[in-house]
Amino acid sequence: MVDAIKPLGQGPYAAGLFADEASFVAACRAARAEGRTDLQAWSPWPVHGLEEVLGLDRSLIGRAVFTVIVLGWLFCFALQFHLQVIDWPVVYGGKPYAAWQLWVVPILETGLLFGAIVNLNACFFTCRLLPDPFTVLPDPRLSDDRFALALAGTPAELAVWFKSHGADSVIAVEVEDVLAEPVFAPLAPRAGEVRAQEQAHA
Amino acid sequence: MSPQGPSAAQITSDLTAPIFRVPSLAWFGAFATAAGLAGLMMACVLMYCIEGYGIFGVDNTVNWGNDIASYIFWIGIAVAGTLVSSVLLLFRQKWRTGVNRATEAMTVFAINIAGIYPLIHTGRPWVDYWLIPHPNDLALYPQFKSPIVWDVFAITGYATTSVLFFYLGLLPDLAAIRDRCPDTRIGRIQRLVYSALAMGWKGTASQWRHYERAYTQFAWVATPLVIGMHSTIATLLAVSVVPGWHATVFPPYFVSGAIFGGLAMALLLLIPLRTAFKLEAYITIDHLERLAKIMLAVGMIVLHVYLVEFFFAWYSESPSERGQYWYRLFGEHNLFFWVMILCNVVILQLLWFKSLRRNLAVLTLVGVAVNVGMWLERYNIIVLSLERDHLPSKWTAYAFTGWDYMLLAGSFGLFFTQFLLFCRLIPMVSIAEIKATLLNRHRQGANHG
Repeated sequence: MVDAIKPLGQGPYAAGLFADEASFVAACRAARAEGRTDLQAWSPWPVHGLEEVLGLDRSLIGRAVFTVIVLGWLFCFALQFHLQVIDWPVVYGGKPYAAWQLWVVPILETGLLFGAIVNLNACFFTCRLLPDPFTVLPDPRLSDDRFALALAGTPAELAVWFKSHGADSVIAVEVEDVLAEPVFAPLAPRAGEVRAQEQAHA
Repeated sequence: MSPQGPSAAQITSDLTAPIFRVPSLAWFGAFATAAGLAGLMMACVLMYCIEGYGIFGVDNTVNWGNDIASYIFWIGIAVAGTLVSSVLLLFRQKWRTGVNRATEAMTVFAINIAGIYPLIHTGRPWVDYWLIPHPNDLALYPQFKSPIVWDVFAITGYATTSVLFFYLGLLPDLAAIRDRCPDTRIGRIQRLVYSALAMGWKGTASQWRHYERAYTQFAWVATPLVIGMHSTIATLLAVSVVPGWHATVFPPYFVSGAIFGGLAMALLLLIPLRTAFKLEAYITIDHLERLAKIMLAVGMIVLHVYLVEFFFAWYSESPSERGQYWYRLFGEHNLFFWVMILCNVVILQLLWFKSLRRNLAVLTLVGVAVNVGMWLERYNIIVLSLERDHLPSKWTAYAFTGWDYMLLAGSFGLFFTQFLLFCRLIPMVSIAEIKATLLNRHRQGANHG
């Protein structure tokens, strides 16, 4: 599936603000049905099913974390094997040097600890989160009770479209606000390429 | 508030209000008391560093006293928080959104207090870093075959994961606070701090996609971690040959006991919290009743294990095992055992009745009783077992010193100090999660109605 909401950063952008979650989701669906790919959406809480509506891929965090957990297990096994068998073998409680059964707990815990640390950092990375004391949302109500959908165009051009889809107001938004993944934005396919790929899929 | 429940804006306003309001005198009073007790704990630790471990009541026979009993008690409190935040999330229990933030905070605060005890218990806390696997001055690593080292791994992993999980859950709410800060001098400072902590969270569709995945992933990581962690602590006792400890039932016994005691503490925190901060619409009596039901279920498992322990002792035909359990029933410290039974078994039975499960006074009584009972359970396991081991010439009677009392009281002070600060600085209910749950429920209700 094409990551359809990777914005192209060409602007200008206008966002419709919605008071109702259902109207917001319907507007997102309508925008996608019209072939609009240069868009962004905000919500104050996670909206069930919005990923499918916007055509977003499943997050890769789960696979990344699982990989790191397995690597953590292997690392801890190798560490204990090296220390207990090679570096400083000690007979402890009459057990063999490589008493792997006694290594299970550190192995399990180390892998999960690594997974937890990577999980948080992967979330920061994929969401592009960094400590920023000056963050400003396009509208402060977006963290409260308003949903927003931004499309390429000026407020004047899009006012009728947004109003017809249930938006209660339309505001201009900065290109930086729309960029969901600025690090990879230059790598995002151009709008024409996206449509071509979608047509090819169809 | 509308008849259908609070609106999204109302929820944000209700849950962020305590952060922007001057605390009440009651809060200051409670904070001063708790901080005073925490100060006692610090004084106790300072005295211990000066005078050594001899200030406590432990001796060569009972060398695990208050330290380890309280350590297991606080770990248990933490475990229940993870149950609510992770296990119920994996089981798609939406009602958890009313109570998960407070119980996650409880986990974080309890685990850091629990961590203090073994660090004290080593006797030389200034070299506790030797427990971390690194080549020390003698080029030696810790002995990985020792359960004590397993414990270090378990607690480190669990504590770190709990803190990270707690912080990830906070991100959308920190952003909501950031966007509500008033335009005053203090408000601008608050805005800078909350904005930095929110890490630039904007709530875009892409961010929610990754965030939700990471949040669920944390639950998958934390669940085996917490079960493994408390099972490890139980194994630490079970692999020894001390009568009363050497039982394979210990890991499930400890995990269920931990959930039992932790839920009791959660009730004790949530009941005054919802009243003091007017959160009855978010932390409802239904939430408390559900917690009480889980508590009753795990309490019955704990009762089952109590009975199984006595059966094992009788069936083993070991004089030491039989003597140990006879000592618990009729020995000079049997009061601890019978009070434990009263608190954990007898009083708990009140929760079989729906009307009592929905009565705040009864829930508070049961919460206090189970907390007392669960601390005594750990005391009985640790101290009474060591008082009567295999060697009669070693038998002794353990008693707290004044420093032990200070340390124990101080740990509660430190816990409540942190919790009271949490009430003023962070929304006590997850704003984003409660909105998703409450507002969807109202909409579905409207559709069905």
